[in-house]
Amino acid sequence: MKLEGSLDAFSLPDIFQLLSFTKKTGGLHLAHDGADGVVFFAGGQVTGASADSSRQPLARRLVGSGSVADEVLSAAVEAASTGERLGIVRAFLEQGAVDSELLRRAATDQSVDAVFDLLRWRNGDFAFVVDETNPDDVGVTLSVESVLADTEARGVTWESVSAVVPSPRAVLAMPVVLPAEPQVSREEWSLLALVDGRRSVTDLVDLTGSGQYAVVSTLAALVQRGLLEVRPAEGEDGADEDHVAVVLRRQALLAPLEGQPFVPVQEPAATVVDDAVKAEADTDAEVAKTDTDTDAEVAKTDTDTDTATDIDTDGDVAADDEDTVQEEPSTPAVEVGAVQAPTPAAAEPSDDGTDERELASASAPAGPTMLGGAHVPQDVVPPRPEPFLPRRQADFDETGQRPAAALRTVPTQVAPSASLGDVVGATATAPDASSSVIERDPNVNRSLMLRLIAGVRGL
Amino acid sequence: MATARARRRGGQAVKVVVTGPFAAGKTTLIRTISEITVLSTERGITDSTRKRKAETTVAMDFGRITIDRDLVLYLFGTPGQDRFDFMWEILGEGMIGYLLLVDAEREDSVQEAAGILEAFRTMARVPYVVALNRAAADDHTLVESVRSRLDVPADVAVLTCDATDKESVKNVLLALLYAVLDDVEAKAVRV
Repeated sequence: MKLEGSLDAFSLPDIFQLLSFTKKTGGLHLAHDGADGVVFFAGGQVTGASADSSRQPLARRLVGSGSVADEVLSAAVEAASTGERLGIVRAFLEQGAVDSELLRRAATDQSVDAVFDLLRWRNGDFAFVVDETNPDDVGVTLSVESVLADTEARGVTWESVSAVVPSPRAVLAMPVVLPAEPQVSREEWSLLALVDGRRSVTDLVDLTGSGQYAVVSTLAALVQRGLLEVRPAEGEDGADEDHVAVVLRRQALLAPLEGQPFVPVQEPAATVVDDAVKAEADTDAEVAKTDTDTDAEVAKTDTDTDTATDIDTDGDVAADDEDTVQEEPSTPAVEVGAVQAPTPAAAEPSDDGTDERELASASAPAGPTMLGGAHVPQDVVPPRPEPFLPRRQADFDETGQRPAAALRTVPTQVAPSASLGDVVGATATAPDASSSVIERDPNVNRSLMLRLIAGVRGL
Repeated sequence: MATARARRRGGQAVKVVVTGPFAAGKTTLIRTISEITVLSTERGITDSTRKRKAETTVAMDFGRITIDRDLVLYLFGTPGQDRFDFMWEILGEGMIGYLLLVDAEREDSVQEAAGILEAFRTMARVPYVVALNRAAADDHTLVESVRSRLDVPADVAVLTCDATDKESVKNVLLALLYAVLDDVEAKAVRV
């Protein structure tokens, strides 16, 4: 027997209540705009859900959390491919590869996330397949009440969250300046590390496997604390500008206050010229006395106005007497920082026979000169590596034989000692209704009844 | 303990069961009052009961009345045929009360109703009312006759109704809700 209909005639909460009230077991399949979802029930309680049946959202969630190693994943995929009605996550459980408590938490979050997504489908079709079991039943049983209450709570916050992160296509980036010292939780950090100014919210949801609500609400919290910013959408002002471009643009604005624009020295010889001239200026007096021909050449190659020594034509040093300054029409002063080719004079060895150029070259730092040079973004910010996830902690020694005690088994039958309502294995032990008389819920009070009566009267 | 109330998107859901013999008009009654298209799992009849009805409810009918933003009343109709009586207990769990619908025009319906009522009284200690479908509104003789045959106490309402008429169905439902209110108040006094 199949129960089917359309979501515009029956809202999902109504169908959930029906299946819960009647303690149904099976799979509720939903279709909307080409997407397929499913919610599994056992005895009227939710055991799992997915808003996209074509994927493995729970397994993705575990993979995204770094809880599953390659070899475990491969083995589970193989087991799930060959095993009848065995899902990949239950294969993890049966292999003892993932901590069962972690698995249950992930399955619970996944179910609530999926139902939250499904509840936003306003139209589409549903079909309930009786006795269809959840291939990834890991022992989670959630009452319809609690699932609907959780999704209701999410619905309340979703509006404000989606106002901060407006679209699944939105791209977030880290700001250059933080408003305060950053403080983040581990969950926030694992998401923050994936934000690279290019990935969209959808990309982040896919990468983490954490579900849209969890990711978007975490991102929104980070945005509100100033740790992330939503980048302008494509086509808007600033859409092509990342935070590095902003820094470079602002640094360029500082240029007028930072004197002459720096031109990187590209030829080692230019440094040699300066040093050689300084060395020669120190010995000017002596040079002037002994060799006027040499003096003239030194004056031609003087590149430093602070250290230059003015020399008159008769060979006297006249640094303090402007009247006696010798004009040097043939060799204009060279501007600071300008690239200058070595002159024959500068290239000449000094009087003491030391090759100053060689010394200068030897002392010049190797590699590119960064001072004031043209910034290239990819040079400034290295490519962002993929985040490191915490190393998986094995529950047992993986190097040797696995101890028998570490093997996890899924109980398939109710233990004799289990009491009514206990959760054992994949399903809950349903209370034996025949042993007790149905009583009216004591919580049904006068106020509630008066509301009901007024409501029915008003029909 | 049965749970009569359930949260529906953060609000409350209350459950009422509509039971009665085969072809008493349960599906019609729910369809008349429900605000949604009643989810009915009916099938063609293959056994001897076919002469009375072309198809019957094999699992349940399901109707909804939204009282206010936070309160919803769900109506569950039980399947009419005996072989589905295992569903009664499942459907009965969590109900605040039940409505026994009898086809007043059919003698066998009253006989069948006696068995169903006995089963429900054993199964659940919740308020109930008896509604006689297709009975004239002023047929007090019939009302008393059915009360006697079903052994319905004097403090339990037995009333006539037309399952196709909304006002009539409302009256039956109100009678049940008042019975539950009386029960609530009586227990509050005892406490």
